Amino acid sequence: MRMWQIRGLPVRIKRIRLKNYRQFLSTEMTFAPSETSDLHIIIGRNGTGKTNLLNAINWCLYGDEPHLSQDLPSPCRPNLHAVNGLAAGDELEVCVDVWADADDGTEFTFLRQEYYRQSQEGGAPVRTGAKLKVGLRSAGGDSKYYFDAEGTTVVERFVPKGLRDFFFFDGERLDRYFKEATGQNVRHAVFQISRLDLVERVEENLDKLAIEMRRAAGQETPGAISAADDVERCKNGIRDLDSRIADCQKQIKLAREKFADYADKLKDKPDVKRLVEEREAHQREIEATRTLLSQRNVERHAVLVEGATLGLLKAALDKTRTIIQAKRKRGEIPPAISDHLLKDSVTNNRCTVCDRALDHGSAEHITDLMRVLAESSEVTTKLTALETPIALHLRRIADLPGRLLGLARELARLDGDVEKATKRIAEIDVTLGGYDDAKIVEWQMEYAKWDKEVTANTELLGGLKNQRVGLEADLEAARKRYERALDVASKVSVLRRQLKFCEGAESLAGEAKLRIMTENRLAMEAETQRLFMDFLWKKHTYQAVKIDADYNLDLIHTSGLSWLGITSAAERELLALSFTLALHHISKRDAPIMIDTPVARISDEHRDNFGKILSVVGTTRQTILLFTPSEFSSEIQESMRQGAASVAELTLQSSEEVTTLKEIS
Amino acid sequence: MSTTRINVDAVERIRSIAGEERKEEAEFLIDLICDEAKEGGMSRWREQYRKRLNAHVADKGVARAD
Repeated sequence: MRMWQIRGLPVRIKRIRLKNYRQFLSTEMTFAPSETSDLHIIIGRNGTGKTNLLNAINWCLYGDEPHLSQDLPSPCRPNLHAVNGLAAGDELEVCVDVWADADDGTEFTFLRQEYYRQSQEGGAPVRTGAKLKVGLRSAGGDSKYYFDAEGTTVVERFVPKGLRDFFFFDGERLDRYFKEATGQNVRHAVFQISRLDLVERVEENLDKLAIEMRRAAGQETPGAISAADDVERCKNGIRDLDSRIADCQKQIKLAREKFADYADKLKDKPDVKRLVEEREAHQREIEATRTLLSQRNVERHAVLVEGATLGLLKAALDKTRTIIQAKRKRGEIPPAISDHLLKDSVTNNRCTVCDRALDHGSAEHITDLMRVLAESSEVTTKLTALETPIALHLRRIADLPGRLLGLARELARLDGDVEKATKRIAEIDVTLGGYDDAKIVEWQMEYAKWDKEVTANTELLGGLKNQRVGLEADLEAARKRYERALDVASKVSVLRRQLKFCEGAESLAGEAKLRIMTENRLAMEAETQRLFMDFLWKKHTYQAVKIDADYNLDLIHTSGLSWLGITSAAERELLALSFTLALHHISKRDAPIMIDTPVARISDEHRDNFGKILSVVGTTRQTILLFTPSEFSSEIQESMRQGAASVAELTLQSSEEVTTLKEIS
Repeated sequence: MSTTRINVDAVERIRSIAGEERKEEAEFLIDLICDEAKEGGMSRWREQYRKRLNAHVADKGVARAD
């Protein structure tokens, strides 16, 4: 069995030919290295087909176009100019052809073709067929061709589909790679380069086989059937829990990233929600205080009116009181006298005291006495009745200054409260000035939502892990039950030994997988750190790059703190580029790298640094960069143009249907 | 052309982890990985696995699985 692999051999793209593919009616691009560099620059405005070059390579090798805009429906793949020239029944071929060379002289050709026919009814041509043809020519001149599924197998040796995102990608990927679900991305990448897909498939098949063997043994020993079922159920449960744990960890990671994003957005922003609530509370307080102020003013007015009235009466009141007091002093205000004895004497015509009959003179005298007494009592009653209201009015007059002072103080305090609340509202308005209140409140809600999401998923994760521990214990118990059941039936001993052998191999596959993943993780960590530190323009800021056992990548500051969450976009992209190149190195795949808009998301001050780094990368491997004219700034040109092996420009013709390529240097 | 795509690192690692004690299991596993790596993979994997299992267990002096 001859081993054939590109792995370990430097491979480069020699030529790309596009025919009737999207903007490219008939275009051929060649990528010859210079003595010092294999860096190739293609410049094109938006819409000239830069990203479709990335799509063309993907379509040729893998049959799909992952870089089409997600927001738009897939546009027609055949070139519009070619389609417009079709008559009913005419056929059209769309093809992309990629030539590549390996260092040992082997030449590869990857050709994907698609055929279309124009229908009688007109409209878009109908796809009638497609094929992939892969040619291999050895240095000695022997050629062999592989088609479709066989061809796909050869493509997998060139750049496996699972790794293509590390070879043909857009600059945005560098920016977002360490922003979203980092641990999962890194784990996926390490798994891909470890090429453990076969080991994993064998492990899965061995597991299926072991289940079948347990069942078979169980049929021979009925008591073991339920135990075997339990073993299977526990294993399925653990597998299901592992998947849910992974999903949960992914969700936590994502929620943490989102949480950090919104925390970042809200950094230095006012707490709008709280301030808006506070402003509303102050406004309510002002309204209530103003109502109270109005009531107190009415009250004060009433007190003033009362004061004025009582003031006018004060002299008369004082005089009356003096008269009463004088009368009392003189004894002119006698106590109330009861005249019932006199009345009885007159009524009975007999003295009530001595019981003698009254004569005419005595009766008249008693009647006169009763009249005088009645008059005296009325004066006394009236004067006494006046005395209390007079005292009351005089007390109210005396209280007036105190009441007015109290009201004045309360009015001043209420005015102060209104002023204080108004001032605070003005301060809040200044704080909120220039901010989009609704947007910040929306961010705050998102922030709170993701915070809640992290907490909820962390709790869920804890629960799932506990369930897993429980299931592992159940599995162990079920296995023991199964073993005991099998012990009973010696006739299944052969099957049992085979099962044990099978399980041993399965366990070995798992151990090997874990060890390879761990070794590659550590190798990726070391190589990423080496490249990042070599490339980085700041030499004293970071001390290490770490990839922990959960595959979370982190950048460690010289202070020892985790720094990835707060590093600049340029440094984060450099870290992703270092990780990408480390992956090439560890996977031993020295294949070309093609990046669309590599520095679009980097600020001007760091573009120059990044341009220099990409130039250095171009001296070590074939590097094809697709720039917009604005992105290919004078700083970038200065750092890259001289070192580039080729520079070409894409131009969309006035018909807007065909792009042409022109070599600039 | 054979398009075998065995992960040499994985094969070496399996042998090293297994040592002498689990050598038979390791070779069984490696044979299965080689079978899987053959062009197109295995359409009838069950039969192939049983065949390999019988061969390896028989090598160890154990009775056949079928």
